[in-house]
Amino acid sequence: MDEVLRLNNIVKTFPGVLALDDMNFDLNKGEIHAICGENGAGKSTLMKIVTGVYKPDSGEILIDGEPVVFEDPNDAFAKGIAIIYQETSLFEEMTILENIFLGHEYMKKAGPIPVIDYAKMRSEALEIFKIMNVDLDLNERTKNLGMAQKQMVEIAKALSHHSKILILDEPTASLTQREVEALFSIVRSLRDQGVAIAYISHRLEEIFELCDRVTVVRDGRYISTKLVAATNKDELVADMVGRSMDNYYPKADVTIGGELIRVEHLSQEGILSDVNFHIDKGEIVGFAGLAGAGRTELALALCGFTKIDGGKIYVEGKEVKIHDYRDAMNAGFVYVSEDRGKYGLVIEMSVKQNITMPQLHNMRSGLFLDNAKELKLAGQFIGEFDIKCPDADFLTENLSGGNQQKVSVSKAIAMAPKILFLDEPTRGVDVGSKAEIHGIVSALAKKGTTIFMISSEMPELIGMCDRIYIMKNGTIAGEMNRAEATQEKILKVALQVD
Amino acid sequence: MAQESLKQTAGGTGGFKKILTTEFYLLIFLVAILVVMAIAAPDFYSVNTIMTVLNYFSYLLIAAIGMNIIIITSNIDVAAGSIMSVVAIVIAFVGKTGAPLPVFMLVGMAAGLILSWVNGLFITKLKIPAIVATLATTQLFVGALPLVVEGSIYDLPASFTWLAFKAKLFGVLPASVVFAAVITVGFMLFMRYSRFSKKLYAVGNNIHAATLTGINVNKVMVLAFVIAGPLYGIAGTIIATGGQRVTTTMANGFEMTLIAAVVLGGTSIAGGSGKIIGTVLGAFILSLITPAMNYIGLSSDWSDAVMGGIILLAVIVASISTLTKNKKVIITPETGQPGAIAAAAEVK
Repeated sequence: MDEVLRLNNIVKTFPGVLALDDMNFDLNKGEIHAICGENGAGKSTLMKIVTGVYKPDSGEILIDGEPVVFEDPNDAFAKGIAIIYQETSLFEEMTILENIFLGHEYMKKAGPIPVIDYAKMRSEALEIFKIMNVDLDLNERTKNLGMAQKQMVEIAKALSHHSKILILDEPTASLTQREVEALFSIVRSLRDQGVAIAYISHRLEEIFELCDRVTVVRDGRYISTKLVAATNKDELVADMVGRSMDNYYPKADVTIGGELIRVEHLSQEGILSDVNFHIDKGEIVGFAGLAGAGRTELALALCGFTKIDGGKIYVEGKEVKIHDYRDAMNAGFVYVSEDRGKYGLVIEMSVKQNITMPQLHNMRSGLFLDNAKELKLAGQFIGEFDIKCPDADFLTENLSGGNQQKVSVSKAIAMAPKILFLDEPTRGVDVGSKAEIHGIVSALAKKGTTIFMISSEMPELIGMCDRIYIMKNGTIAGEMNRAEATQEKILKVALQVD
Repeated sequence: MAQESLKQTAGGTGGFKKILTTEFYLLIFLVAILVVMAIAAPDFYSVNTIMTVLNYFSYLLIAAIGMNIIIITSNIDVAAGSIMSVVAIVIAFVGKTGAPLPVFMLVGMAAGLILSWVNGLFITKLKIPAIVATLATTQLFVGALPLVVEGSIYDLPASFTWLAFKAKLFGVLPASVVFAAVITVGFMLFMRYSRFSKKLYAVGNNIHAATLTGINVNKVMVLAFVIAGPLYGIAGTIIATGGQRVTTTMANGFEMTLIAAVVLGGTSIAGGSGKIIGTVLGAFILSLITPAMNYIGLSSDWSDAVMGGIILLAVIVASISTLTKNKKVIITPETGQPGAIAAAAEVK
């Protein structure tokens, strides 16, 4: 196999942080090479070295065996390296065509003046779309596209650079299953055409489905490179965390009390229809389903963020009317968003401010906020949940994803909910924090808090939940006990395969 | 099957819907004003009035194009009016010596360029937000002028006012209108066919992504101010040469009209979007308001309020259309990961 990219002994430091320490990576023509590791393991820094965003302190980058130095991203483009970031880096108000060729537009001469050659750009873009088997209107503004379509534009952009090295950074994070399949088929066909692809992902399942080799990095160090066919999930996870998978889902046995919430015939036009379920006190109930099945929408509707059209909600046997989140909180509902950066936390504020924010009315002495009371509440959670921060006044934006999530959950728990709605509580969280969050949830249930848990990771649901509801097309399509649930069974219901 | 989701589903965007742009609505509104005037006050259509309107329109538009370019990069320039005031005084000094239009206009453009460049450097080098930087330089420029000039420069020669009184195409059309037309067409072509214009939009759209694309964001922003500067210079020249006396406060506050014209023209104040043609229509509508109200018999005291009302209406209409378009998006979409579910099942 032809080696197109090699990184040798790369070291990169930021003030006070050793981000990469003696990192190695190599990439062959026509392979998909996965890079996996916990959050903060150094995957993104590594890729930013490859794409010329950062310069390494030492070590060498070889392209086709030749050492290169990248001063800025343009140098990397020129060497045929393109990256597709986790969040798309498209320009929303600009057209697909403008986006694809931005910065390297074809020019022609109109007299003495160079002008953009739209006709040539258009024909090349159509050519690229043909290779990708994609059909999009080149004049459409990218803000009108869905996530998957945006990613296709990103890939087309990469191909327009005639990239021979394509880096995909968590590309499936916000795609639906069909979109993921389409993406995979494009990635495979690019590989077959000889493009070298580096694939960064948290999701081991994807690595086994798509990739040829896998390199594990941990704490900025190179750990191992293996053929995907010759390894397995446990081995990779062990490499990533340096510890075994025991206690991955530490669900404690809990005595389940009487019925806490019962929902009857809940509906919301076009989104939810005739939803019926119940959860008992101290029970952890999971909600599985495909994207668009209505899980988040159900949680949002119950918590009063969106208006319901019909149906009844009973809490401890009494009907409650929920018009807004204030009503929901009064009924004992607290929602923890799947997007902690956007909806879960005010990341520019401290750990303390975030935790005390929903109940500042309890934090007063006379007219003023009582810092001691705030510190006491925050300190309690920092200790209990082992939130890794120097003190309670530390800004949450400087915490790792896992610790941010713990703050987000702390804030919710501080409100002493009867029922806690957790929406993808471990998304984008490293394996260690994941286990800790599972421990926290489990301990809460033991204390009698009811948990409504949405997750797209089936092992998490099966490991954590007493019961699982499976949603499909905005309604409950099935229900399973922990004992009988398997991934296959859940998936069959979610897909309605008989 | 899998590819199906990658095809566009927004089937209704073709043909008719494509015409229903901001520019289209503005054009309708503009025509409506003109029709109302034709019925309510036919006197409005005198050569004199039209030429007065066109002269105001021309310098408003020239400066507004500069403002538009700055706003596209997601910045703002509240120093534009004060820069034009400085330009007016500077060219009055030069014009007093009897220098011809090409000379003092070039001096005015250079002055505009330098002052606007300074704003750009404050914003990019010192990372001062545009509104703060330009607010500060406004005070500086406005404050410095009275120290240099006492009140006004007067008794300016005929060579100075030549542009306003003598330079007429076909004996009626003010030369300023010709300037505006040339500049407008030039910038329309520039915004479509130059590589740099794409960078202006890119920076305004997503500064982070622009950096990652290899665009020198600071350079693009500074250049936006550098481009706007000479346009302020030309506009300042047209304003100053309108009479034999140039005061130190001639264009103070004019930036608000510029911003209004740009926003009315459909450019988002958040940056990244907006067309020159929109600014043309926005500027033209604003140019009509005061004279139109005079002819209808309303006090010109009302004109600011009416302009404000029109802008508010335009912004509300734009915001409503965005809200209806994004209705579903306001609800947090469920972005679950069934890919992982499917894959997990296969592995097991």
